[in-house]
Amino acid sequence: MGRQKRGVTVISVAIGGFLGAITRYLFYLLIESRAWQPKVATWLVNSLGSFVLGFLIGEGSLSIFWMTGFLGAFTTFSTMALDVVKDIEDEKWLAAGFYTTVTLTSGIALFSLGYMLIQ
Amino acid sequence: MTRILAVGLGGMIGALLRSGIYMVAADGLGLWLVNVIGSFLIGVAAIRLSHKSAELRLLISTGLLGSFTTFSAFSSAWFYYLESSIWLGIAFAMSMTIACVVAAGAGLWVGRKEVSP
Repeated sequence: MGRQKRGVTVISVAIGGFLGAITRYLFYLLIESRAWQPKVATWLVNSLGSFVLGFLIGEGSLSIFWMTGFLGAFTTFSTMALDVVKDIEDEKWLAAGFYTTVTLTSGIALFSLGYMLIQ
Repeated sequence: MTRILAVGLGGMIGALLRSGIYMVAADGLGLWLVNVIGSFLIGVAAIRLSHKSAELRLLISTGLLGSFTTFSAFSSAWFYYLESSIWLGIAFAMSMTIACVVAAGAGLWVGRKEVSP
């Protein structure tokens, strides 16, 4: 990779990451303003991000800005894992299982839907 | 506004670190590294930063670690594993999830155990 191309990659990831994280945060603020659980926002960003990534890959547009930058930062695994651990510590087994199952299945289902949308 | 910028700045650093790990790690391993390490650190941060300012928590936990780990690429990897075998896909998704949940639990444990000086 040439120095100039590497520079473009770094800037794309940086700007994408900046905007993706802020967009995710806006979802948290929106969910908070409706007095819903923050988990709902985590589920929403992960589902939505999976759908858009599936669509972009299906379409064949592999831009580093969207894939690694924006969508990588917009979606999150750590927050989900922490939420599940907190439920487990509170012995809310059903909530932990339900949240995990719903997140994983909607993520893969929406990714597949996005991927096949224009096939 | 400060809070939004804190999330954005953290998100920028997290995405750059993730992309750096993708560049040096073997194919497929990068995703495991960022998600497991990030889940561990968010557990530590949940304890250690609990009495710090909201801005610092937004910078580190919501911004940096939220962005360092990723779910969209996980769904994508899962999709490709599923294409070769349904069981391989399910095994991948479950092991990644369990690894990250255990890592976050270990992070909470470490955060509580070691007393900061």
